[in-house]
Amino acid sequence: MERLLKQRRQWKLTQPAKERIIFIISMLFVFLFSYTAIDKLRHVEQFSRGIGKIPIVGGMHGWIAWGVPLAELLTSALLIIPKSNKLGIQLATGLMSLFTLYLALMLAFAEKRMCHCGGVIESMGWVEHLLFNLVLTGLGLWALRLKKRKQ
Amino acid sequence: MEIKKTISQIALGLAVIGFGAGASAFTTEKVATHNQATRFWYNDQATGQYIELDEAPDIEGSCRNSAPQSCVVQSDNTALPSNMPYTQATPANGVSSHPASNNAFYQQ
Repeated sequence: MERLLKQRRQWKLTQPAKERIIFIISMLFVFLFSYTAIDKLRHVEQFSRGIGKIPIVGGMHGWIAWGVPLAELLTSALLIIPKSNKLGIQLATGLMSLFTLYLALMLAFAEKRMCHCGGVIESMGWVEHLLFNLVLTGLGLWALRLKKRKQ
Repeated sequence: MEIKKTISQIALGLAVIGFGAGASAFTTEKVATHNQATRFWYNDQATGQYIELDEAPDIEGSCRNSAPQSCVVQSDNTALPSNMPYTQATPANGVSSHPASNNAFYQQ
């Protein structure tokens, strides 16, 4: 029993290790969101028309075409400022969850699948893309958990 | 000390954003380039052939903009017919998928 407890203590992450993990996950989100947001903004007209073809959001495609990349950039900004990092991780995890849900719905129900995710992300297969998003959502949740324990 | 750490974290974050922007520009440029002599065909499932387009397709959002022109292939081979059977659309004949087309689409 004592050995088990000792082993558990050895596996516990130290405070600096937690901070480093949170920082790396944050930077990963910053890179991903800035990359895809800038790609979407560079082709905002195409992105808007593409979204317009999705039946549920059709009428709001203009707002979404600007809103999604701006939300991604705002999240990146919140992530890089230490004081707002927690809010940034919450937003990043929320956005990734939404994107994952969208992909899962497309995969399950859509006859003609559409993904306007930006850059090389679009060249991924649907299952790969879903796994990629799930891993990132998981990392976001892990960072939030570490953040909670840190406090 | 805390201020110094904050500034260095923000600076690193800004560098990562810059890196992301650079990577985005790089990949877009790579996709946008194609030869003037390149010919394009769209997949006509009704006839089971690739039909040649008059001009480079406006794929918009990677091969998913308009249903009839989904899945565009391209080639510089002048010997290929305008109505190309699927069997001729092979790498051996110099045919490849459009660089902006989405691999995910082909999995349908």
